[in-house]
Amino acid sequence: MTGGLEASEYDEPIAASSSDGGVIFVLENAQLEAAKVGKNYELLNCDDHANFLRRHNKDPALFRPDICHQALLAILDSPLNKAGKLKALYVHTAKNVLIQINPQVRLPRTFRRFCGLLVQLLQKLSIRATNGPDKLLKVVKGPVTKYFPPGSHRIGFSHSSKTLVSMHDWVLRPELAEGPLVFVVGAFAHGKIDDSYVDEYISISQFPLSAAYALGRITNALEQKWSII
Amino acid sequence: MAKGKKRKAPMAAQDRKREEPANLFERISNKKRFNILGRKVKGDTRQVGKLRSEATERRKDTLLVEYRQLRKSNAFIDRRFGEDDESLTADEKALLRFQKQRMKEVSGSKFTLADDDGEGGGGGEQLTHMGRSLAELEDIDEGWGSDDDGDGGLGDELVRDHHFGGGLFERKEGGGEAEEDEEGRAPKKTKKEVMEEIIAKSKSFKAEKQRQREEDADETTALDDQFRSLLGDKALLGLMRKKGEKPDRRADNKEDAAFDVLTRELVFEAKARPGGRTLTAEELAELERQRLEVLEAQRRRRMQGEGPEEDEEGEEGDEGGEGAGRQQGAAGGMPAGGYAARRAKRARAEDWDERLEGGGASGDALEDDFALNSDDGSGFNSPACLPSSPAGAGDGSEDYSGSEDEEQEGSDEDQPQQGVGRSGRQLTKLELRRQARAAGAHPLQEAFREAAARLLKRHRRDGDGKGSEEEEEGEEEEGGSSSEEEGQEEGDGGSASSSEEEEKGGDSDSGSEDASASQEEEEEEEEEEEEEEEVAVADLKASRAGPAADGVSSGDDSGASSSEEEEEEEAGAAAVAAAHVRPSSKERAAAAPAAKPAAEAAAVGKLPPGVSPDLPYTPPLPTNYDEFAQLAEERSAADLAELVRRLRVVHAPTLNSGARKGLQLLYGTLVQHFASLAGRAGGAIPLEHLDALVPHLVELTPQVPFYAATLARARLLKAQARLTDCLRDPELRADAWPAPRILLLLKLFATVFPASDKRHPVLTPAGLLVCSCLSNCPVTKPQHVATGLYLASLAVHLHSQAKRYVPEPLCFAVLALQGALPAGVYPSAPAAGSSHQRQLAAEDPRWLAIAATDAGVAYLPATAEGIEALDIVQVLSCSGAASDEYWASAAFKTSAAAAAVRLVGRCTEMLAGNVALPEVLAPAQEVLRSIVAATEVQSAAAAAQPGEGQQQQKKQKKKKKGAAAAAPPPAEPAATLAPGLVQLSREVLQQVEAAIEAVRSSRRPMYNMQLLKVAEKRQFNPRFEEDFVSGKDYDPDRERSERRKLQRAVKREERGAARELRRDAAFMSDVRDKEKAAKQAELYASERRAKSFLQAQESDFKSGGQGGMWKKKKKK
Repeated sequence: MTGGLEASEYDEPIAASSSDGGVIFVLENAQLEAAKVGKNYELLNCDDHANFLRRHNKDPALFRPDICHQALLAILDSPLNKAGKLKALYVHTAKNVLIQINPQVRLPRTFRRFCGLLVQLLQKLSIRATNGPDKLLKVVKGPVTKYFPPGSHRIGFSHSSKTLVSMHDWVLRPELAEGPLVFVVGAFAHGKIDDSYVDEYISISQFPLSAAYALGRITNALEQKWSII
Repeated sequence: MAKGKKRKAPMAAQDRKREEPANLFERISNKKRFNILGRKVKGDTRQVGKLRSEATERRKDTLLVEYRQLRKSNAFIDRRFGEDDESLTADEKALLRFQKQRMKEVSGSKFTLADDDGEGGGGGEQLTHMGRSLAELEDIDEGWGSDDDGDGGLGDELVRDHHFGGGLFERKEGGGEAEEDEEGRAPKKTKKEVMEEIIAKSKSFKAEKQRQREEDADETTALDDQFRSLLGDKALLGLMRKKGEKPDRRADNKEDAAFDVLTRELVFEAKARPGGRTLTAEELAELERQRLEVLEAQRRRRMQGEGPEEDEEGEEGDEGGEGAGRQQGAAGGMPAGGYAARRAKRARAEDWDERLEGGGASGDALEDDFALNSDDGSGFNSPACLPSSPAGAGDGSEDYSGSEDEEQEGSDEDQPQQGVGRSGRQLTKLELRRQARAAGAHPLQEAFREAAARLLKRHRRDGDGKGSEEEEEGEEEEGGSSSEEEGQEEGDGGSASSSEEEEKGGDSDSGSEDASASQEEEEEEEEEEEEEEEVAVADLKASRAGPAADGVSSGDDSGASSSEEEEEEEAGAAAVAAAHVRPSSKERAAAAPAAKPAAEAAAVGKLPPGVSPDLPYTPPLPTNYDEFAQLAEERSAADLAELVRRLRVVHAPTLNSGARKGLQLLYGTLVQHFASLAGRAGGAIPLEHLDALVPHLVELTPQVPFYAATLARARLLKAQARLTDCLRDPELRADAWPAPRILLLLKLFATVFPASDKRHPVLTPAGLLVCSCLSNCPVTKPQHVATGLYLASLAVHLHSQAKRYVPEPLCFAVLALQGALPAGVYPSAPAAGSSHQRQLAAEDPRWLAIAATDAGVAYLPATAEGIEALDIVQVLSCSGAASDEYWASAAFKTSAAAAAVRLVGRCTEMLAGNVALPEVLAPAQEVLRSIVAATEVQSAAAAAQPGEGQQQQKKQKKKKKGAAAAAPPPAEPAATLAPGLVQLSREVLQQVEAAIEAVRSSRRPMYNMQLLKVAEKRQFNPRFEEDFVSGKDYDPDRERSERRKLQRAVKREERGAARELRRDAAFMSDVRDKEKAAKQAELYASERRAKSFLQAQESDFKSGGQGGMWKKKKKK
């Protein structure tokens, strides 16, 4: 590569062909941070580590890994994913760690186990499958844009957006037909997505939605579009 | 001291740290790129210079010291206090020395020797002398008899137990057993002691027993004495009985007496006796053969003009009357009930059994024989019903299987309307068929009717003496119901009641002879063999030539009437039949004188009806067909049946081992006879003769199964070959349908072989032949339609039992129905997917369509029941030109179409439950619909023009004129359809549609989203630990992880050691260099010193002793 940069093993961009209409999700600003609490490393959350966070002069309200957990489950358990339409899934944390998640992963259902998984991921930087050599989760180099297929639409979701649309109608827009879709959803309680790479922002409800519900809406709309029952 | 050191060291370090300010230039630190809260990384900042100097100092203390000691054999160690420590002052040193000295004095001796006390030193050292302990030596000394043992042995014990009041010292274990015995728990007993104890116990027990016995004996004697005194008082005398006196067991009340009487009577009660042995088949056959031989001998005697033997006469005279009476009773009216009825029934049953055993020509299987059963719904009458009497259409609606009660009920009210049952409800088809069968076209029924008529006639004559016509009428009106009083009436009238025990009294004049005979018969019934009885009856009949006509009739009737009753159990039918036949019976009465010369015939006794008496009883077995043909020539059907029966009896294979071959011969002959009868050229087919043959063939076939199958296959092969030839030949092709002979043979095979077999050597090719006829033979004449329908129903019969699906019958039925539709109505277009089916082309002639000009078009049946069934006789025998009229008649067309519709219904039943039923039945459904639809149009047209027939014809003519201008609307069909047929079609259409709907509703869609298994993407579980610790080995193999850990440690140590060595070497080289340098410097210095000395010396010398201070040539 030019500039003496070498492609890491993670750097292969997803070869999502636009023809079969894949979809990529990015969870921005996920609050996943591991810390050494006592003797162990733990994923910080506002419930269990309030005192710890206060001791370290942190705002406990900013540590909400449960949002990310719900959002991931909403995506990975959707029929959209079961039908193989989900091409890739990225989580960008508030501490600027980019995690690539294989759509075929079966995430832990319980929050505790999810925390354990992420703690291990953040220390070891990759997680393999129990029944295969594939890396299901891995920490990859940023920025996330280099993993998007060329010509993809990058759509951000924000309540503050001026364009309020019905998702079911919106996905039927003809200009979305050709390119792969990248949906950027914030996995935080308060805040705004970093808008450096998003093409357009839309709002899909008059009300501020939780990440999981917004993702449910998006996946529902796409399932309906592709007639996945 | 060590603790103090440890505590001191960190404190010292802390102090040092606190002392030294952090030199920023000496500090080296690791940059953290990813901060993790709460994590402390060891050694992230280091004081490099300080660490290095510390390391040097450490080496100076250790390595350098060792280096200095290197190759030194000795070393001086200064142990003086405080000599090493420079910081101590002299006073402090002195103080320390003093402390040391004092402590040494206080701590005492250097060696801690044990006390002299034995206990104290027990565990420790032992004093020995010459390798032996001194204690032992002491013992030896005692052994030598030392005197001072007074305070030695018991000393310890004494001290322990008695000093200070005792109990102060612990007791030793195992010491002083004897003392403990007395004090504490019992010691363990020895075996001897135990045994002694047991013996002592048993002795004491015996003694106790003995004592008890003696006491008992004493008490007994005392009691005896007392009792004797009581006896002496005679107080108990009333209670005693003398020796030898028996107790009085006479019953003292009535019940007991009655019981005693009963018990005594039981002695005389009859006991069961063993019955006769059940005869084997061979024995029965032998008996039958003997009977026939006797009869043959009699016949021969009669032929030669000799009289019957005298000695048999008396007995037979008695018997005959009874037989006649019984038959009359059976025919005229049944006994009302009770024992008499049961006995009569049993007698009849025995009679019937006997007949069956003999393989008699009962003709019972007639309605099931070769012709199409009306059960198969094909619309054909059974051949037996062919000469159907119009009068018998509506009566006799009895089930064959009806019970006796039902039977009587039925006979009470015996005028049911067709289609409406006794109870007024709508009759099912089966019942209708049974009604039709019961209508009386059956030859047996006819014979029965005749018999009844004859009886009636005689009865009336008998009754002329005493009874009146009114009684007769009453009996007839009641339909021969066998009530009690009626039986009495008959008893008054004559011999009809003679079989009843109650009425055996001789109040009848003319029937007294019969009555007495019946009485005798009652007595003999149990003992006599049935056959003997029959022979006797027959002989009696032969002897009684008196009332000739009467005798003949009764003799002839006996077989028929009894068998008929057994078969059909129709008591009521007899009277009804009698009513019908009465005129003919009168004729018969007129012809009685003519019958009188046939006294010889009367002598035959129990011959079946219609059997001529000149038939040989023991016919020789025909060796070829010609012989049989000679025998059977010009014989009636009954004769033929009897002939075959006799042949089978006389040449039964059970009698003669060689007769099996004869049986085969007979079988072949019979089949050939059947074929030749069926194929008789010209005239009607002798169906009765065929009927007579069939039961024998049915019975014979299992006896010669292989032969029968071979024979049938040969005939089928021939028929198949003929069919193939005909179909190939363009001239013969037009008339390729099989001849009646083949048709009847096929039906025969279907009857004698089991049609339910999956694969049968005869019926499988037969079915194939039938189906190939149906699918290949062209329909060029109307009789072909009839033949085809016959074959189609035969095919259904062949395949329905095995539930096989064959398309040909249904296809042919559809084809026939298409032909029944008026031209132009059908077909509009050939149904899709039915290319294999025969379709009626538009130009094909419609054989079954009724034109307005057809004969009988005015009398089309209005209901489905009104349609006459297709006559098999017509189907089979109407081949001449004369019958063309029949083929063109509306009756034939309607019947044939109805047969086709029924065939469709039958196929629907057969296919029920088949998943392909809607598709298979689609053409049939379509054609039935178009039949129904065509008539709707027709009826609409008829409603428009009330006048039918002529007017319609006129209309048609008008239309034909205008046809060129406008296309003829379908409202004007060229032909009509019988309303009955339409009704039938509608019924069958409903049936078909219901079946189709049932199958359709049970169908499931082939593609179901829910059931379709979509390939889900495989999911993988991530592999992670609950409590992950970085750097921990999570290998489940413990040994491997241990080993790896050790390997890592080894490597780490290796690296550390190498580093240490490297640094040590550096240090040492540094030291060595310094030493070298020092040595060198010293050397150099000494050299300089020497040199300077020499220089000084020289200068001194040179300066002349001025110590160098020589002034040089001062040039001043």
